[in-house]
Amino acid sequence: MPGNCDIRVRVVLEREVYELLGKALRLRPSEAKHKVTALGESVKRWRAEQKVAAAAAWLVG
Amino acid sequence: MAGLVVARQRPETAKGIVFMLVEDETGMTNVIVRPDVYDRYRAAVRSEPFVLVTGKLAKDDGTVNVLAEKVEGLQMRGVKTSSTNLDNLHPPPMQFSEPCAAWRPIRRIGDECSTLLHPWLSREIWLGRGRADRELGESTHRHRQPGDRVGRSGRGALTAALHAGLGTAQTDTAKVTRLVRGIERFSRRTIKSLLDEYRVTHRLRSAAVVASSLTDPASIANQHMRAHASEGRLFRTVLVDAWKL
Repeated sequence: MPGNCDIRVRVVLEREVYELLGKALRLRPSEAKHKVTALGESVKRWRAEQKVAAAAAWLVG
Repeated sequence: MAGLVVARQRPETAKGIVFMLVEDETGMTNVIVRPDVYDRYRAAVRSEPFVLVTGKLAKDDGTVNVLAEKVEGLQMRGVKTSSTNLDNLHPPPMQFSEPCAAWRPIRRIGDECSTLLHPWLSREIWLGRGRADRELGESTHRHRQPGDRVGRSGRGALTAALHAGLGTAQTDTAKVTRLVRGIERFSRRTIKSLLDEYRVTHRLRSAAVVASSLTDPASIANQHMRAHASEGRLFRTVLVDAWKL
């Protein structure tokens, strides 16, 4: 839903994020997760919540 | 440290490590119990509602955990607590097959590098501004940054908005209203600051809020867990509302 800043906000359930991303990318959830993990290879610490946040950002992007 | 065990978890992927979420009057701390410690203090780890944990404080990338070396049931006024008279306060004994959104390792609320959000919510904010594979390294942003000042309406409200004390819900509506307003103000300020920072270099189109649970607090029987779920919903709501301003 657009706000005053025209920023769409979406609430994503953590346990569903890879499933949703997988659907969006036409991949299995595990493949979507691997793709997100691969995105952060250059990051020193790439924690689970960061991966989930990245997946969510990908979903709404 | 000593406190009430809010949650216990032994994830399949954690190689036998047990995570306990322990709450005292100052906030919550994640306790990590290695398999050898678990074997020695199995009964206390599995079923004691209040525990006394001895161990090492581990600070790693802003996350504070206690690595348990000893876990004992806490004696209260000379009487050992039992699950029979505390059913409304503590989570059920470990049910490894039943995942629960709150049973996850979390950062201690209020620590310098921790975030605004409660464990029932995601702790990182990423801004949707196109494909995530563009400039990935810069797009993560914590809700709070080290050195941020939360102020009177922040930290206290975050840890106690809907709690009157250990295991009890806050029933003073005037106090709840005041604390909630403080949280709303803090969220709006934080999001505005985040937006101002990102707008310098990016056009922002969308944002995602990752929630660990969307369970209706009213459906939770345990008063303590219901209070946590209510806080989770509150923080999620104020965050979403702050994005719309």
